Amino acid sequence: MATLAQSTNLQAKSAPAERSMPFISQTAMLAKRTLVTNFRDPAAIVPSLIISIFFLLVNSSTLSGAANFFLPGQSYLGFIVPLTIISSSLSGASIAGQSIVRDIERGYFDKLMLTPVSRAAIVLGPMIAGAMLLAIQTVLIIGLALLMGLQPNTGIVGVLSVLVFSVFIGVSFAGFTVGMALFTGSAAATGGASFLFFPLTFLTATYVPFSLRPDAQGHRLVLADGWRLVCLRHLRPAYPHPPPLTATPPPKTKRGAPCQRCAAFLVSVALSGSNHRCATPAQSAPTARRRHRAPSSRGGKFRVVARPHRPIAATPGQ
Amino acid sequence: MSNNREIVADNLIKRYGDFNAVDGVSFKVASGEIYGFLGPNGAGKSTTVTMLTTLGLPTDGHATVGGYDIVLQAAQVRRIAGVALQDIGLDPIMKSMELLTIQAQLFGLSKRDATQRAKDLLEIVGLSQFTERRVGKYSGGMRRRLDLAMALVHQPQILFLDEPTTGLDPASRRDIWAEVRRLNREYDMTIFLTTQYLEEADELADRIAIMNKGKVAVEGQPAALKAGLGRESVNVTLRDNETAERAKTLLADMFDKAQVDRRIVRLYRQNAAQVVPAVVNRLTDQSIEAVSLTLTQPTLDDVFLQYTGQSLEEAEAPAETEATPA
Repeated sequence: MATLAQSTNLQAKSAPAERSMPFISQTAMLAKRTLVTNFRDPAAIVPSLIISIFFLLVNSSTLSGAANFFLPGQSYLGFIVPLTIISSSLSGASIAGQSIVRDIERGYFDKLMLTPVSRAAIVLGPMIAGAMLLAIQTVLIIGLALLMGLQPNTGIVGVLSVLVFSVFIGVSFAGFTVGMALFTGSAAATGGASFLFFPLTFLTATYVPFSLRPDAQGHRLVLADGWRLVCLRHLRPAYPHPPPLTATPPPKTKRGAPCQRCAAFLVSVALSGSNHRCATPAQSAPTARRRHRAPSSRGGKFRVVARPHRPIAATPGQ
Repeated sequence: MSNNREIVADNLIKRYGDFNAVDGVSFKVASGEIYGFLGPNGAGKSTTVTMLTTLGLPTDGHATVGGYDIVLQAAQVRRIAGVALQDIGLDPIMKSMELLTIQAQLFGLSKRDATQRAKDLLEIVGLSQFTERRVGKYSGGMRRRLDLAMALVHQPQILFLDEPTTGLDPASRRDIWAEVRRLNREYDMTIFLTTQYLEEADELADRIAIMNKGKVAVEGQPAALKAGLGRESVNVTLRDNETAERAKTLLADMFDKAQVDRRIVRLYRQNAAQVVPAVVNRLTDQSIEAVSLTLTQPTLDDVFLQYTGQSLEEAEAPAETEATPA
């Protein structure tokens, strides 16, 4: 390196004393960098995608026969796709935390901290990149499900809203993994935190419903039943639920007018939020299940009935 | 822009639990000076740099870099200070051009200026032909040079170098020294350099401070400190023990102390280098043929012994105390 000590005009340009990059550009640049490094070293992306697709294929092929018991006349694929999407978006959410913890371990995080860049941009950049990657994952999974025969009654808007929800859920969980990364600076701890979700899926109604009310999960309802049903059931509680133990398919619905669809979208957003809260493991699933078990479920024969909207006595076989 | 390029620390303290990693350090580095911060692992050198470069908050005390407070005006400090840390902070998946361009843009350069700047710097550190190679494939010396380039993207007025030559081969080390001297000479950059090597501080620094257990044990010009030390030695190896004894008698009057160790005469005094010609002349006059002649400088261990009353190995603290907090 003979040139090292040779004189080169280091100060040809004015010193960038007070110049600074806009916050949006800083965030965009750091997000782009995270995308580039993740595509060059896709160790954080590929396994979670493969696992999600694996579960989709395995569950839909092994459980779809049994699903006739609790989802008569409906496709189990529509039931299991949301789980795949959620698990993919939660594992995809770890991309942000993993990227940051990798930078911390390699010392590059300090390099960023030594610049006058906004501290928020340093964290937001990887989170946005992670959100984009998990959106791509979700699109791939939905595309695969469509190839496998998924027929979303809500059409393209339903699919898009599922995509948007999965990104929102992913980003909120990304906040958790990023927090873990910044707090511990340890790749092992961040990776562990990312898998925290997985065992919790078994506490929820992800593989089989704990009530036959399909609206226990916002996504599932939208995919399986369509917007009209979502709206009608929540605006008019008396609207009949799909009969759980008969082979009658859910009522065929026509697509509503644009304003109706818009209202339905807002309602389902609200429902998704409330259902998400309700579905947290803190509110123990076994309790909920017990409450909604029919009185006639004695004598070994397991029978599950729909949960009523108001806290009145459950009527079996509604 | 302010022309103040001083670094002033006033009773800086960094405490981890009950342990004071930096325990009341005060010093003042003048504009355009190269200041060496010497000490063994765990002495608190890196922790001090971490605080001065705004990566860590001091538990107590104050410091200014270029006149800006390291806590209250951290953003201004980051704009005028370039930092190359002990642990090279480069993403191995990225390419040198990308790393430099991003860094320059984060300091506010336009994309075009940043690209030009990156090219200039790669030219300076001699990595122009490796721009398309990922940094992970670079050698240790190349990474260290790129890391130095990263510290220079925003034309800093004050440069912090935390053990810049640790782990480098002698040739790479000399290159870094030459570059440090050039930056100081041509751009009047103030340079704060930490090192474990007395030789390095001696070579580069105008003044040095010796750290021990979080405190500054002694501060001064390297020559003055060494003069205070004495104990440089001239070692002359001769054909046999008998000749060595003769040489000792011949040379003893020029030195504080002389002893024979088998066929080697060891002669101790301050500034021993100055009397080497006289030693050679006397031996030649008496037709005594020396097999070899070496001059041994006082080591950091000697300095330590002198100013702290303990050897370097005794003073060595556990390595984790040197670690920079995340």
